[in-house]
Amino acid sequence: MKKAPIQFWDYRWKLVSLVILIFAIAYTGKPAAMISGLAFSLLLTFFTGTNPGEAVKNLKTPLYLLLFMSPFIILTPGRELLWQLPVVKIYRESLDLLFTILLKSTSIILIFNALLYKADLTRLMQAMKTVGIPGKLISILISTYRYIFLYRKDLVKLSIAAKLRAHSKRRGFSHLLTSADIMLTLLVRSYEQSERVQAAMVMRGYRGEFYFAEKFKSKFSDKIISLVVLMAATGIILMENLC
Amino acid sequence: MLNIDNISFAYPGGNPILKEINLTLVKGENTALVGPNGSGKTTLFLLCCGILKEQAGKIEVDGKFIQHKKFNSKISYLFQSPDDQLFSSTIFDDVAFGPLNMGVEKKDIHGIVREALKRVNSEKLSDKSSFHLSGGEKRIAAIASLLSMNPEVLLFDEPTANLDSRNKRKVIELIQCMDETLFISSHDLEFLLETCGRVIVIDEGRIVADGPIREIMSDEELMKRHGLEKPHSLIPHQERHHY
Amino acid sequence: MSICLAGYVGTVALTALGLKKTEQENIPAVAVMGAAFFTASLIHFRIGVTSVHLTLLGLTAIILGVKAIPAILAGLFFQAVLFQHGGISTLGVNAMIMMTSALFCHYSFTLLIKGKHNKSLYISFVAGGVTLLTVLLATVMTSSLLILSGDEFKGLALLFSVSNGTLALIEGVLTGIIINRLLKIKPEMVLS
Repeated sequence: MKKAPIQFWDYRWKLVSLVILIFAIAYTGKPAAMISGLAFSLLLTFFTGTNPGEAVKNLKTPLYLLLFMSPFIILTPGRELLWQLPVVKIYRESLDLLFTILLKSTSIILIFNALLYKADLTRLMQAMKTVGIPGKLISILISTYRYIFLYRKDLVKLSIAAKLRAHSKRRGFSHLLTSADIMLTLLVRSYEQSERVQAAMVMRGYRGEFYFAEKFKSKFSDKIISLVVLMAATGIILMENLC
Repeated sequence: MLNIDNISFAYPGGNPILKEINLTLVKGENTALVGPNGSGKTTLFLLCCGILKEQAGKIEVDGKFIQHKKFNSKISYLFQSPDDQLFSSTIFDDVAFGPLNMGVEKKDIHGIVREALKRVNSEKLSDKSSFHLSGGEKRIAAIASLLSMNPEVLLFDEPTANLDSRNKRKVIELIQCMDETLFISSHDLEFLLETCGRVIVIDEGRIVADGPIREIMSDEELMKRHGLEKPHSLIPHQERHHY
Repeated sequence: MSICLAGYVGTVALTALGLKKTEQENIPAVAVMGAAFFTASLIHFRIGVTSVHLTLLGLTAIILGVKAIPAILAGLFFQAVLFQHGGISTLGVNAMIMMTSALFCHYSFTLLIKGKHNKSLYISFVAGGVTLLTVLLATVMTSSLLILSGDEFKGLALLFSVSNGTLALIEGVLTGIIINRLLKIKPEMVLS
């Protein structure tokens, strides 16, 4: 399968520059800076070959949440009254807030999508280690990643077993009790497994830190792409302060 | 090679599970460990590799005493469930985990991993994630993750549990080609007949028989007394029943 | 933005504390338990016509103690990375609030059950009560931060407080039930 351009970008450079860009966008509050942030994240999505479908999929959940929250945001009282309808009043501040959340969250999700698009999470964590994240934390992240999937599988099995015995027909407290039992089973199993996993790791010489076999090699193009992203981040911050 | 001298053990608040166990494994020999459920097989293995701390007696591998929770590269343990052993995002990372912890140079890692996977005839698994492997593949990958550390004694706990006949055959063929000292615990007596020359029968925490596998397993009276059955292949056929 | 930054600073400080208290040999256990808590929090509960899923903050803190801090961070990180819940800019604030609440939960639980390890019903009630207070504390902190961010966030803060009040009650009851059962089948998970 053909690799997207983003997959050739060195993980360390990608991580540092995109995280800086995310913070730059999170810092903005003025329309010009926010729109520029969104425009740049769209360009990034396009040029890095990130699948737009996946980006839209990732945007769906936060946008639904925003849609759910929008009536509450719109009805928040402010100082400058825009429209007075029979029952409700719409203020400029509430519309500004809705616009801000929409622009900033869309931009950040698009960048986040570029950061993670077809990324090897172990390599990403290795990059995190090389940029100074403590080894203990990286070890926890790596192991958590592995076992989240295992327990999700377990959870699906337990839920199917419960559903086959009409669990879904129960409501209220009895539903809570059954769900508590599923949770309990998952936790006790995991506790016992955690002891075995720990033993298995110590038996293979583990002393609290993960080592990686691969070395990072950055190319000239990695530095150029990162420079472009960092320039964009600087531009957005300047726009916020000067406009 | 592995010398167990007068080992006794009891779990906190429980009855003694192992009582004065003495045995020696000969270099390069495959030894089976059989006994009913709860007879202390897994406990003995956990003591042999230092996961549990012996309460009396001592264990040594190649002249070096086993210390509680201290890594010893000469002995390795294959857990009953490969999910306790495989925690990295790819099989390559899992097989490389032990050698990297042992301080092997990064430039040598690829060769070591390739060699270990080649020994188990599974080079194609290298880039796969353990989430996507079948039970048999996981078991084979877990064995490779031990072989990459080049241990002299391998303890296999139920290596054929939950495997279909094809995967079981793969494990048998693999064990038959191995020149390490193997100590294998299993309830699958036919599998042990094919892979081991010696058997130790353990019941209620004591060794009740030790000797050539065919001789001991043919003793129907002894096997019955300790909750075991004489393997089908050792029962002389009175009449033809394979047509 | 300043609140987001403060969140990250607080998170870094608390994470440093949590990592210091986590022995190297405990790392796999913290990770495996963290993954289980994270997965368990995906379970949906039917309450009337709607369904909610919980944070399991109290339960995580009671079982893992101070080691819950790195487990919470890992959980939030994967929530953001794998399921795109929450943004990376608010990760710091969320993490700091959850970590502080978890510490409150752990220390108050340990203090209240001191010398009463054989009274399982009492321990279960304490676990439930402390969890309820922990979730309420997290809610108050989040709402206060929302209000501090600007007057326009007041509506959101109110909505958040009301929905989390109900959640705190459910979470408290559920934690009490789980701790009660754990004390019967695996007491070392609660009392170690």
